[in-house]
Amino acid sequence: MKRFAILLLATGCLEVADGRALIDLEVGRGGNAATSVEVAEGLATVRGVAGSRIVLWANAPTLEITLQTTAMSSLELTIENVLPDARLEGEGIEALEREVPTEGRWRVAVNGRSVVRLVTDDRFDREPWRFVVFADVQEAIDTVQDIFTLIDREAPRFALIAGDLTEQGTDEEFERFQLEMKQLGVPAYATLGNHELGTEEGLYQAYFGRGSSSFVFRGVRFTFIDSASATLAPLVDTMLDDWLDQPEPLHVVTMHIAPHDPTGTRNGAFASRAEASRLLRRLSDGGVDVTFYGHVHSYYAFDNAGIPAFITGGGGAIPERLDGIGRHFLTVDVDPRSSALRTGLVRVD
Amino acid sequence: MPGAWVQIAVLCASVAAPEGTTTSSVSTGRRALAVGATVVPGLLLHGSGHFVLGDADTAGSLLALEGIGFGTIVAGLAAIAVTGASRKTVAPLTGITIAGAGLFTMTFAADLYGVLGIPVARAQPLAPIETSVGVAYVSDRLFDYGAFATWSLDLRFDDLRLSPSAWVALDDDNARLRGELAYRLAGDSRAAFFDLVTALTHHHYGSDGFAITTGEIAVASRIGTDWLLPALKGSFVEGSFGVGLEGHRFFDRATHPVSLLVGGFGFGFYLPRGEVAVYYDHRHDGFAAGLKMGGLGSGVAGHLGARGEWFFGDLGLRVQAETGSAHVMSAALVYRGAP
Repeated sequence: MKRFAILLLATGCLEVADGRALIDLEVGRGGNAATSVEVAEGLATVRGVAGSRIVLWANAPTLEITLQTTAMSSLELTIENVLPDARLEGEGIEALEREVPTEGRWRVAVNGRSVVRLVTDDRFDREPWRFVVFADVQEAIDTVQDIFTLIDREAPRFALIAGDLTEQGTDEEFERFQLEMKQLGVPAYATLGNHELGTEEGLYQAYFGRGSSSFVFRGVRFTFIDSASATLAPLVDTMLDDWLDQPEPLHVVTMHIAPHDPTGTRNGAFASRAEASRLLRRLSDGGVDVTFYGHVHSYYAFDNAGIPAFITGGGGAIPERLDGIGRHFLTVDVDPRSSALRTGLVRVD
Repeated sequence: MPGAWVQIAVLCASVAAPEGTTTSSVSTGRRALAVGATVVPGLLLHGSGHFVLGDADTAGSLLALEGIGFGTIVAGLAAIAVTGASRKTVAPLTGITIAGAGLFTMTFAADLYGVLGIPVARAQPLAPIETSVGVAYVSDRLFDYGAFATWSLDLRFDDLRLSPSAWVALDDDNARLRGELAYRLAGDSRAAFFDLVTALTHHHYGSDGFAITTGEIAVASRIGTDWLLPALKGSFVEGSFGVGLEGHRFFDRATHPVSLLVGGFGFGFYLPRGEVAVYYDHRHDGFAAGLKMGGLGSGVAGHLGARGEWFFGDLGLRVQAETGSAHVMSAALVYRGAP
């Protein structure tokens, strides 16, 4: 009954995504009376600050982290979901042994305030490299290991997840997903889907970070947009302006619900066709090179406003029937020197 | 919680009017009770209002139709889920689901209409020519437009209807032009018809750098509710279903096509000088577009609306309000030529 009431209240409400956009702004900050941490641009979420231990979940390959303590102290900083070769730069840093390749641990001597950076040696390289994209695992968490195994075999630098990691967005599901991700040899950076909206607002951000964010790695700007409610919050709309203004050889945009569903009669897309085209026009004006979506549990390669577009919802959730696709993910080979980008479909079953 | 609803239903049964009571002769108090019953337990058990009013036949029919509607919704959604919303089956399955939703919601509206005791009126005659000029306001946070001037024309030649219309923004470079050509397959009045409707719409979003041109074909119908439930004379139900193809043109850039499912349902009743109706429209284009909903249903639903018109001789007033991704309100003066 309570859910029914919430559904009724939500019906007709024009501000369904605003709350999440505001919560996004709080991501990356945390602390207690003695210690605080702040991650620039909210590119990691603070999973916990207890005593001298800080745990972050990264949603980007490089981070700038400001640590503050009331007195000289040694902090133990754990950053989950990092590249296996990621290191921490700054003063008074001691790397600790990793138990999981994607979980970095460091001891940091902090005297009042200290800025440290999570970096990799190749972060400014312009050599060709590869990443992968997948989405819509939902209830298929017990079989996602098949996908992770094949992803590792493709040797990407990292993965992007275009939403719907879970079925209902509960604590247990988020914890389970992060536990399974330890089996993946590379980090996966994500945005949320409509299935993450099922329970408490802000829970997704507490585990995985911002729904809308942007970072640059090896000549490519990666922008995640929270479209889980089939619309954009005006705040995200404004942030997008800044991200589109940044010149990079390539710009990859990832969101869960596509502005336009290539099967338009299904409406697995934005609630408003006009809003969808308005967004696509801006992405096109901003020189976006490719868009990746989830939500529809199949594979589509199409074109939106002249931008190559891919739906890759093959993470294991109930598949679209009669399409001959099934579980899959995409590999994306990029060459920043020639601004070239090539995708490949990898079938899992 | 279900127990409480059962108790309320039993309570309603205990206060039901004696058999033989006519709905027009009931006391004000009982009618008020019946109106309340349309909500509790009527939200779940459609027809409760008529039951309290003493019209068990209509109550039973409404409950049965509600059940059919609910079953159709469940079947439609289940089929969509099982097929994974397959591109090959999703359009007809969505149509079935919308039909079920129409039946489900219209039985609630019909129950309320019946117990309100609204004097029965007849449909206005069809005029060979009808034109309107008006104003509209669109509240959409993402677009600069707000105020619009509107115009429409209906020309009828026997079974054909030609209906051009225009909405032009007064404060932005935005205009929606539409032309409908309809052929009446059955019916010869405003009260009952079955039309084949084709339409071409061009929506220019000049300041936003794109335009949407849509061609569509649909069937649209209206029938008096008394065709099935005699006690509900004076009310009507509407339904439509069709498909369209949009071209999203980005001026100096590319154009890409997107298909569109059109259709919906409505319930209304006639007034001595006009009619009013509430409706659901599955369209995701236009100003109202689809409802913004949190959770799993994001993006799927169309918009809701209400409209009314009143005539005083050849002149009339038409008002409409819709809510979807935006709120839309409009009012227009209508002139109709003599039949």
